[in-house]
Amino acid sequence: MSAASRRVFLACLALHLTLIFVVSVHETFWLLKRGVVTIIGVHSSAWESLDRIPETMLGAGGSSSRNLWKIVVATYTNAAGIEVGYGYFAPNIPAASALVFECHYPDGRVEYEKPNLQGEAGQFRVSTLVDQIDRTDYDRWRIALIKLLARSTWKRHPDAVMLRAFFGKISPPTMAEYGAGKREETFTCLYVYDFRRETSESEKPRL
Amino acid sequence: MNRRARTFAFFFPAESGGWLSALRIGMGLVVVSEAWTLHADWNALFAGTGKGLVSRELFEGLLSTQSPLIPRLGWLVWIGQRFGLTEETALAFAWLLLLGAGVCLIAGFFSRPAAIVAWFLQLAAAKTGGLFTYGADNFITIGLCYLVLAPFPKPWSWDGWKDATGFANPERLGFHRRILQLHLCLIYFFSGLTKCLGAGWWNGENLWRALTSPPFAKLPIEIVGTVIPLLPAIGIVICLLEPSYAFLIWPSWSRRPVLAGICAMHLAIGLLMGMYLFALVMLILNLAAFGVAGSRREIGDAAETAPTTRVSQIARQSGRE
Repeated sequence: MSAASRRVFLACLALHLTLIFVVSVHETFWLLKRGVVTIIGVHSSAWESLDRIPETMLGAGGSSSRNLWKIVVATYTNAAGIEVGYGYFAPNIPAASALVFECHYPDGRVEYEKPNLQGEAGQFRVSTLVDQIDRTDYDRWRIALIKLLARSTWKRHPDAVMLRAFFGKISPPTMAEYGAGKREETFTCLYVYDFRRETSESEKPRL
Repeated sequence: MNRRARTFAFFFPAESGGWLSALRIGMGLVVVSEAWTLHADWNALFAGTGKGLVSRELFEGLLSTQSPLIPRLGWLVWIGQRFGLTEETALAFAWLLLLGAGVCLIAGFFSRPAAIVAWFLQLAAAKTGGLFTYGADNFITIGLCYLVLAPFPKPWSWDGWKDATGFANPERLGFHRRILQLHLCLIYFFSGLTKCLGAGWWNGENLWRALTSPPFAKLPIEIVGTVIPLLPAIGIVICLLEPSYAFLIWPSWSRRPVLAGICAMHLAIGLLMGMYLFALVMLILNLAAFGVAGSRREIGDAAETAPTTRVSQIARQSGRE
């Protein structure tokens, strides 16, 4: 390889590794500024300020979807699989989210069903989706996603007149609770939504 | 040796193609596994509004807010519709292509086109999947992206059996391996750093939660309960192992134990938490990057057929490796 082609290769490598580094730093600062982790003596606003640097480098700060830099960076990072950081299962593992539909029939019968797929790999992805629904702070987005899942559940229960969605958290006993003899999981309900067949827009948060 | 020569020597070590053949075969296995395990649910995951579990259009619309140029399955559905194919048929065709590309990668049959097709379809599926995707999808994209870019070696492939002439430039092979190695170092450094920030990794609570919470709980809680005294120690080992990987994987004295530790961790994640695909792809990336030794005989063979590479330089660098 000639020295010139080596320099080109090295420049590309530097750009690639810089992007990986910036994305990872951005995710770490995001955890710190959200207060998911607290470092004594450093206020979350400090992380907010620091995070502006990687945010700007990635073009994420601008609101316009026509920001050319943002499009170029997003396309490249997504194509290379480096658009997210690597904080898996970190800093702490939250309780698992769960979604259960209560299917109400005209004769008063009630059945329970989770959104599901046939295979184990598909089911794992549904669990990922439900966890992602929990992470949103935007109510309308959460309702829209649950409504779409309700619609597919309705296909398997065509006679049901109402679906009631229970969205919450499943917590196994902690180590200390296990030591004290507790074995069962706890379901903490966070939201309840009703979906009626005749008026699909009638969902009402009840909690 | 001056600084520039040292830099070039580090980033362009002469390598045989063994590591890339391992990556190609391994990523082929991953692609086949992913396609096979999603076979029954492929349409439910990627079909449009009212047909699938959620909505392809919704996730692709969100994707467009990032960039309209990111590959997605909707493009294939659109092209299929121009040829009179239904959405279901177009998606089934995409699945078949992905499976076929994975098989071709394993066999080394038209390796480059197979890598491009596998990368494109896997990326399109991951991006269209939107909120269905998880970490394994990113790592598969990373592995396939490096396969697309790296020069394909001949060993262990149908392509090599059909045409034994020519050999990928050993320095380019070495350069691409360095990218993967440095990328893995960044991955584990940041993964470890963020874990170290969580108190639960230091007292075993996070490991307990990982092993007992759905959907990862594969063992009965009573069995996990028997190893409670070990969990804090294992958590601390993970906290120390991941960030130190970036530094201890390079010296020859620490490479094997660190690699063995990381591989053991991924095996445990696969077997105890049911994350088989994630475990498989991480094992393959690690073994390709640091586990497969470059063969001096192959490098010697390569040097004879690589016109731009000086034999003495290769021999010197391979000796250092």
